[in-house]
Amino acid sequence: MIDFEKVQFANQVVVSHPLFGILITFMCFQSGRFLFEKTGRFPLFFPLLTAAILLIFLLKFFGLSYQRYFDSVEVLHWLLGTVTVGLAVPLYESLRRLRSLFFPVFITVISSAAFAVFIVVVLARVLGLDEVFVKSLATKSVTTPIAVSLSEEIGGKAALATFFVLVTGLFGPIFVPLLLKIFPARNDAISGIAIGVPAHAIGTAKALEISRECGAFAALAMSLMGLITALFCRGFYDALFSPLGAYLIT
Amino acid sequence: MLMGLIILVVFQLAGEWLAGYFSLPLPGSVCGLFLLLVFLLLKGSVGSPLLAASNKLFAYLPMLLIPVTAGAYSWFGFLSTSWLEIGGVLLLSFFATYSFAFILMSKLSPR
Repeated sequence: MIDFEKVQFANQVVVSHPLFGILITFMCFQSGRFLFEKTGRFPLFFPLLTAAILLIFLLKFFGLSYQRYFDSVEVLHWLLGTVTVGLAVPLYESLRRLRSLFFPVFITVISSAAFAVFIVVVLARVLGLDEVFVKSLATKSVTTPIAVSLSEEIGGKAALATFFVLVTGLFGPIFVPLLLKIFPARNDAISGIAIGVPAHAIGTAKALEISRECGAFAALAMSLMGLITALFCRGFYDALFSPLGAYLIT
Repeated sequence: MLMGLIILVVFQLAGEWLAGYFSLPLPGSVCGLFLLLVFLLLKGSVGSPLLAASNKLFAYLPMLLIPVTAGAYSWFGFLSTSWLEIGGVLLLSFFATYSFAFILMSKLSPR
C-alpha cells in the first residue's frame, strides 16, 4: 500500500532541494536548444527565451515561488559574473583590430550612450507615458546591476528598470538576424558594437554565436555602455529636463 | 579547464574587491573583465587553460541568464494600462539605437 502522506513529503524534499532549481534550469536550456535547432534556428525560438517561458510554467507546476527558485540557483548567477570576466579573452584576441578601431569604438559608444537615453525619453514623452515609466526606461540599454542603481538615482523603480533591461536585451537575439540583413556589416567588429550597445549581455550571448570577434566587440560595447552611462546618465537626464531640453522635446 | 576556472574566479573576486573598495558604480565582474584584459596585455599571451575555460563557458552564457529572465513575468502587473505604448517605445528605441551605433561605427572605422 502506498502511503500518500509519505509520497507528498518525499516530493517536497525533492522540490525544495537546491539542486532541483539547477536541474530544471539545465533541462529548460537543453529543451530550448533542441527547439531552436528543430525550428531551423528561427530567431523567436532563441534558447534563452523559450527556456525562460518553460521555466515559469515548471515553477507554477511544482508550486515553487520565484524567490525560492532564484535563491536555489544563486550559484548560476555568480557564474554569470565569471563568464563576464572570461569575455576579456576574446577581447584580447581582437586587440590588434581594436588598436586601429580605438577611437571609432569610443566615439560610437559615448554618442550611442547619450543617444539611447535621449531617444527613449523623447519617445516616452511623445506617447505621454507616466513619469515613473519614463525614468525607469532611461537606463534600459545598460546591464541589470548598473541599470538598477542608476534608475533609482534618477527616480525610477528598480523592478521596472530590470524588466525593461530584460525586454530590450531579448530584442537582440530576436531582431539581430533581421537587422544584419538590413545593414550588412563590413566586419564583425562593427556588428559586435551595434549589438552590444542596445542589447548588453543578452546581445553579447547572441554575438558570440556569430563569431568570437563579434562577441568580443559586443562585450566591449556592453562594458563601455555601462561605464559611460553610470558616469554620465545623471548629466544626460538633467540636460534633457533643463528648460532648453524641455523646450526642444515639447 | 579547472585551472582556467580558477584564474577567472580569482579575477572576478579581485574585481569585486576593487568595486567594493572604491565603491565604483560598476559591477565587480565588469571590473574583473578589465583587470584580466590588463593582465593579458602585460603577459602578452592567453594560456591554454584560460582559452579552454572561456570557450566552454561561453556556450552556456544564455543558460546563466535564464534565472533573471524568468523573473520578468512577475512584473507584468506593473504595465497594466500602458503596455502597448511601453512596448512601442522599447521596440522603436531598440531599432533607433542599433541603427545609430551601426551607422556611426561603419562611418568611423577605416576600410
